Amino acid sequence: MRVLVVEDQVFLAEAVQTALRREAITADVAHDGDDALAALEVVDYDVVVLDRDIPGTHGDDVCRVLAGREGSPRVLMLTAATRLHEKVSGFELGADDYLAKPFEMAELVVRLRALHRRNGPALPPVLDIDGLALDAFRREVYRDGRLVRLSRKEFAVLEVLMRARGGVVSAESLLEKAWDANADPFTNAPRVVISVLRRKLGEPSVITTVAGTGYRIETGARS
Amino acid sequence: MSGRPAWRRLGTVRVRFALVYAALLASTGGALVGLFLAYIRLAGLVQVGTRPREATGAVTAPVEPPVVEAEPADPLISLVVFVALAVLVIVTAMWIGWLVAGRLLRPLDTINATAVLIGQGDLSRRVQLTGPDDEFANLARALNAMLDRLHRSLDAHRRFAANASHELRTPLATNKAMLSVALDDPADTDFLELARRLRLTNQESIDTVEALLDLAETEDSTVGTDALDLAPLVRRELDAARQEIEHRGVTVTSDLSRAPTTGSRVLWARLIANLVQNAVKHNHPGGEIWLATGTAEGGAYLDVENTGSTIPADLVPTLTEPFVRTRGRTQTRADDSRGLGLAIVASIAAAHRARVEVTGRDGGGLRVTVRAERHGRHAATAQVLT
Repeated sequence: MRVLVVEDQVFLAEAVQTALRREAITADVAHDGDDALAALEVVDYDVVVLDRDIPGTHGDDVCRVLAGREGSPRVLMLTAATRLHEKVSGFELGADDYLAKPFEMAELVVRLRALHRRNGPALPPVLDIDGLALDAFRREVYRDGRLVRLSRKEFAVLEVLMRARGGVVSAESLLEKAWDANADPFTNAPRVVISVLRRKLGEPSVITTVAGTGYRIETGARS
Repeated sequence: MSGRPAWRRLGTVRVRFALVYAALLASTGGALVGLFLAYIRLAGLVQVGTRPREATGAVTAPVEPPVVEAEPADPLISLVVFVALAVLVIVTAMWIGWLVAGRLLRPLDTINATAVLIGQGDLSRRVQLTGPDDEFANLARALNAMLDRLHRSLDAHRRFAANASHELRTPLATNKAMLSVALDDPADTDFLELARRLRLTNQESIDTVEALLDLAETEDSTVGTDALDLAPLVRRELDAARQEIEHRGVTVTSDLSRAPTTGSRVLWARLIANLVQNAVKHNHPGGEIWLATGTAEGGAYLDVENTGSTIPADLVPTLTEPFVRTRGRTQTRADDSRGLGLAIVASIAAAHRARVEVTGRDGGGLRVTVRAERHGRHAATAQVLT
């Protein structure tokens, strides 16, 4: 899952980024509205954590822009304003969720995952394909009931593949969703992670390579 | 009530009461005298008649009293009747007096009703009296002025609380997040860096609270009526800011004529300091500042203009709101402004009933003009308020 954190308080943005990274959520940071909009043009983020009071383009305006676009990421508004009418106005702008400062980091993470679930067609909290189960909230993966220990990066990649529900995911998409802005676009890291995943998940292999296109997890009965 | 022409005093409540007393006294007295005369005549104690008048050129027929040889009434009954009627007259007079006094004192009911409503919590109400400009109207005016003062004070406190809680949430959230991350995985934490960051954020909280208290203080202040001149205050501030001005290489052009006004010397000095410091801080290196003081239309004015970065037109009117900075409501690291400089200026100006005009300059920068009220009018209002 890839998240854009838009927050002008540098220390707070970094703390959120670190906490999300520990949860296998890739996070980029933008310190003002204009940088945020620029980043949104380039990367297909799943969720945006948006502080309202930011310099440049105001947070409210960024939210409006996103709400007006098709296929925009979900927006979780973060702000010091906690009065009911301020919350209502936040939702009216098109925010999908609203969290007041100060907040519990754990609550932020849980809400982000919940929003991510609702991206596109509704997904259940635990993704289950033929005995391969991924619980995003607990960050656990089971293969036929057996717990599989995955690194954060491996978890993130597997999550992207499983969310695709049998659709093909290109290496570029994997890079976009599971790696942050610092990643080298020409790296073959996705391929490496896929091979590690295959090894850890065991036989029969769930991840198939679709030549020239990408990877997918087969759905449907196995022989 | 002093200072009003004598003829207007005829409308006052005091005069009206006096007239009513006089009228009641005269009529009651007259009625009693009349009763008494009737009594003694009926009781046959005295012959009441008229003496034929001396002819004074006019033809007057001698008037003879009607010779009614009535039986003198029983003296005791007459006395009783007289006393009864006299008492009746007095009671009637009292009753009329009571009615009229009630009527004259009706404005007190209005004042009382309003006071009760205000006491129940609606501080925005004011006493509204129709009718002549008398002692009650005076009382109403004084009460309303007092209520305005209280309302302003309460508003200032409420705004402080709202601003403080809002502005402090962000540094508190930052610290909470940093601590949460650190304690979640202490092995992965650089505690020295954490301590440095916590200190910076904490200082931000301290600065915010101090600035907010400053603002609340200016909003809550009563302004005295000391006579003062803005020009020397500006000169003094320029002296104090000399180092900073040289450091930034800013050129100052000043045209300081006498600008007499009234109010609080300390607050005006504060206002001037904020405007001058803003002009220096938000300027280009090698930029310019123009300062002018003087009088216009009977009131003192202060004009501060500086070059600097262009400010979006829709942001300019909001600059006097607390925490609005030129890059939006946020923390800029470059300067250590807390975003309250112009809010304090606006608040001090409001306390002195002066107007503040903020305009953006073509080519960048800002112009702030503060216009004090006309001298005489301000003094009169100050008298009512203090």
